Amino acid sequence: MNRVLTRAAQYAVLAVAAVFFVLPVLWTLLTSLKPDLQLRSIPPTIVPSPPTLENYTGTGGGLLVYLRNSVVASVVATAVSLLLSIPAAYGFARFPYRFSGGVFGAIVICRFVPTIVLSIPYFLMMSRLGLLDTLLGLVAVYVPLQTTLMVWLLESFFRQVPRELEEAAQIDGLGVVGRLVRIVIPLTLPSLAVATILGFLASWNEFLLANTLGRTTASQTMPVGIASFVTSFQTDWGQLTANGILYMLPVMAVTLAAQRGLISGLTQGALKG
Amino acid sequence: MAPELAPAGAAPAAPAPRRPRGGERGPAADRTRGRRVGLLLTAPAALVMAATVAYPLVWVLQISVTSSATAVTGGHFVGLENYGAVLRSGSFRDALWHTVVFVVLTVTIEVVLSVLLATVLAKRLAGHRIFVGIFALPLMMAPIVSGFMWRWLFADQYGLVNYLLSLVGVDGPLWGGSPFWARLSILVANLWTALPFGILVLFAGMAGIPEELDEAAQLDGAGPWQRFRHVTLPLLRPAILLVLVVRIADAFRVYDVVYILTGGGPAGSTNVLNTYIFKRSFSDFQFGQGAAAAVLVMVLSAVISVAAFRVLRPKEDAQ
Amino acid sequence: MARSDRASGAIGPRRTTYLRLAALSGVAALGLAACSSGDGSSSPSASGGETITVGVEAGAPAPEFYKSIADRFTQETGITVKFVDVPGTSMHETFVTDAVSASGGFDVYDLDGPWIPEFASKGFLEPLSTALADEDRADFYPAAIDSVTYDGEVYGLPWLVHGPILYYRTDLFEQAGIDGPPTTTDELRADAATLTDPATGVYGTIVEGKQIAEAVSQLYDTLLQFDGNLLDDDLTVTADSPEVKAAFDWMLGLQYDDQSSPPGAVDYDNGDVANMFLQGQVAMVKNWPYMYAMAKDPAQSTVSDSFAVAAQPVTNAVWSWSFGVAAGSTHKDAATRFVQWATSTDVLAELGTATINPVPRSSAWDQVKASEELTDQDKDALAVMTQAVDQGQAVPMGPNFAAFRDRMAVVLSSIMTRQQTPDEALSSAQPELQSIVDGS
Repeated sequence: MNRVLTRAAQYAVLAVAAVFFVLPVLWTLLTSLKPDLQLRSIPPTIVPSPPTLENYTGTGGGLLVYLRNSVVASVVATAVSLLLSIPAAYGFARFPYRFSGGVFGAIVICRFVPTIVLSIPYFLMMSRLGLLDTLLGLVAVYVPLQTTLMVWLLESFFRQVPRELEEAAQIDGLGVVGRLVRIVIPLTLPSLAVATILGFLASWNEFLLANTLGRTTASQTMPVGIASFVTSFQTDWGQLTANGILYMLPVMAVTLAAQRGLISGLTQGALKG
Repeated sequence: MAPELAPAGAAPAAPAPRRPRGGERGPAADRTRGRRVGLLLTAPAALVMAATVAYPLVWVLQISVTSSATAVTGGHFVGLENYGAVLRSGSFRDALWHTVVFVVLTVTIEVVLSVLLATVLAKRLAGHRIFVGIFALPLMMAPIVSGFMWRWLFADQYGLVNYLLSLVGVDGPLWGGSPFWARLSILVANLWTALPFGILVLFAGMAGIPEELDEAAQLDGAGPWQRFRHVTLPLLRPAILLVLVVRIADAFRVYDVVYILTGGGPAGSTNVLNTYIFKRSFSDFQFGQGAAAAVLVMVLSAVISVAAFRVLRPKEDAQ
Repeated sequence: MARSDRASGAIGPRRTTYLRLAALSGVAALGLAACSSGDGSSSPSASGGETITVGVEAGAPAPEFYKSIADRFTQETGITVKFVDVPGTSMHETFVTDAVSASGGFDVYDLDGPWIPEFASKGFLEPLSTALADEDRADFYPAAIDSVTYDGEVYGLPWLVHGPILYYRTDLFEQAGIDGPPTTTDELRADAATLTDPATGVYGTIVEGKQIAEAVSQLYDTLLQFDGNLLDDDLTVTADSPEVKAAFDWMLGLQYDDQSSPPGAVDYDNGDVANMFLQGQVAMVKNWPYMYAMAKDPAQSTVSDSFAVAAQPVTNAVWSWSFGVAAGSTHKDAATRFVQWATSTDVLAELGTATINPVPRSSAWDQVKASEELTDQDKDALAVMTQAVDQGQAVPMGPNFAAFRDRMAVVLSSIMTRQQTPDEALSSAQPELQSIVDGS
């Protein structure tokens, strides 16, 4: 009986939270399917009747290029950040040297910088490097953004791995890279996945720097494209929500796929007896 | 793929032929080698960070001690004048106060709720994977979209929140009409975007907590709350601290949701540090003061984070 | 033995190889990204002429119009025009960033009125007085030229000059037995009270109170109608004056005594006002001319055949959008030619016809009046919009107007949410407002 009640309570907690998180997304989706008039009806119309795809088709292929830019910038920045952060986090966690604490702190403190103040210096920097309005420039700016978070997260996760396992592997003859790749990473796969997703989304949803450094469709990303639906006089809610939903789909797909990896990582690397 | 893992604490198998990978040259050589390895592993990230962040940071510091009226080039050294002007500014102090209160409130709520939800998720009830996906949804929505959606949800005439409240007979408040409700609306909207981070990180952290400990405690007769307090929580502590410190940094930088929902109103009651910096720089053309404020914000939030970390971390290091 | 072999042998190198491959592909991707990122700079076009970069507001109707006819300009002059869409919410910052860093990224800026004194005073704009021929200057409405003049010099050529007009529900007016739109502020208030019907949930009017710059622009209309102003020509702050207080008292009366403006109006901007009117929830509002096209479109409006427009009682403020030449531009002559072309009579007449917005020069208005593409109803509406410009006044701004307006928005919000009385709010803000205007 106790068990049933506890189960019920647990589900209730999850359900309440789920409603809170889903509601705005659902509302965005519903809004995107409404014809213009119903969008702003007072009192609000919940279900579009009839639902329409005009907000989706109205966009046209123009935004595909924004999507391409977002994908390239985010994927490349994430890949580079992972390549930098994983070894670095492992180094900070397991191989301290004289100033490693300071270096770690320096990397991590970058997250405390209010992004607003970065727009002008980054603009100047990229302008002088000739990287304005280029995807490379954007990646160059996104890598530190992600690295600071990833190093921070991964260092903590890597430190959680019991030393004995690594020592055992060392005795077995595994080198540093081997221990990292074959012991630590598999054991922290769920956390690694979380860090990767969080880092990726930091670039995917970023607006300020993409807007500052971008000029044309050569490098402008989807958030910039979506912002164009808010003009000084009115907001095109239909297009805003439709494109907002569209922009979520790739991430949802990837996360769904990654979830399987997450679970298999859990069962494979778990410390169950 | 991975070699068979002996359970934690078990002795390694019968001695295998040892390859001298440093284990035999003695502890000092080990440490030197360890330091060298550490340097090699961390150098790429450190160098890349330095190369990409040094310029902006130096620029901000430089501008913060320069008089800058119309351009960010030119202007002369003015020492700490900008810092003084910022600290004396009433709107900075208001923004500071608003931000600090916001940080304390939101981070506390976030940590508590994240721990709660992550714990329940970690029970791996049937269908928990779906919940994990749902809890990650807010992260996937671009802030510009979610910001406008929340503003719309809180609108009085055609907003969903008040409409739903009216369905249960509650007369919804004017969310933008008074400082209290405006602040609450920002808090709620921000929680929506911020909670997933904590939940996911803590959930991932809980994956590393061995079940045997919990089961052992259960066999010993410990109730669920006691098990939570004495088994789960201590092991989760590093992850909680991580979430806490990162979220303090993030909460200090809140901007989009404030700008979109209230623009800092009504009557400046929701002005935060970032809106102050933005306004000072791009609206008042006082880039030097904006930069000075940014430096102050960085220092302050870092100090608070470190302090929180020091106070709350376990006496013995996690390892 | 077997274990260590396996550990360091067969699988080991594969892992390292994997890492190396990953690194290589990352570098390759970077390389690809660098190559594939397009030509962002203004390079000479294929035809050998110059290319100029014009920064415009993303998604706005007028830029779309200009984009559609830009090749006419290219044919005439051989200058290629590259439009850069900048999100409206960050347009000001983007232009400021470009100007302060002297990067020359833009040759032409699409400028909101208040930006002109601001940019001009900081040397971001090229003076255009010599580019404005005398007959052109005479052809533009005085308010239009005023709004682009700073310190005696013209810094932009306007493509839009407008002021908010009154939109009202002809059916509700008829039902209530009101003859026509109000012609005085007293009439407006009385009509609004009459038209407010709690039974149907329809309000008489809306008093915008959100803490944003645009609400202050709307506030100006009311202030001017009460013969007040926030700044005089010497840029002395006149906020703390009996006329301004009278205006606020009138607004507060509408909002709280008559309750003919919805309670949520203290947080409304013009988008909310438009929504309310288009959804039939309010009988009479003042809003910008752009709303006309929306209101008469059945796909966007529930009141498409039961509304009319009129000029506001007495007077209103007048604001402009114009094109200016960036001081950091390296194609100033070409940019100036574009600005002149974009504000020439024919082009403006077409713009006005296409977007149903008033035009800033009378020769263009004559052409619009004669246009066969517009219905009589549209022309009547345009006449109203033009009347608003005629009866309207450009307000003194000064270089720090944006900051001033932002601070004033706080005052407005404070008064309308009754956190302070008009007396308190205006007198306590006066010193700060003055120092903002003075730039200290």
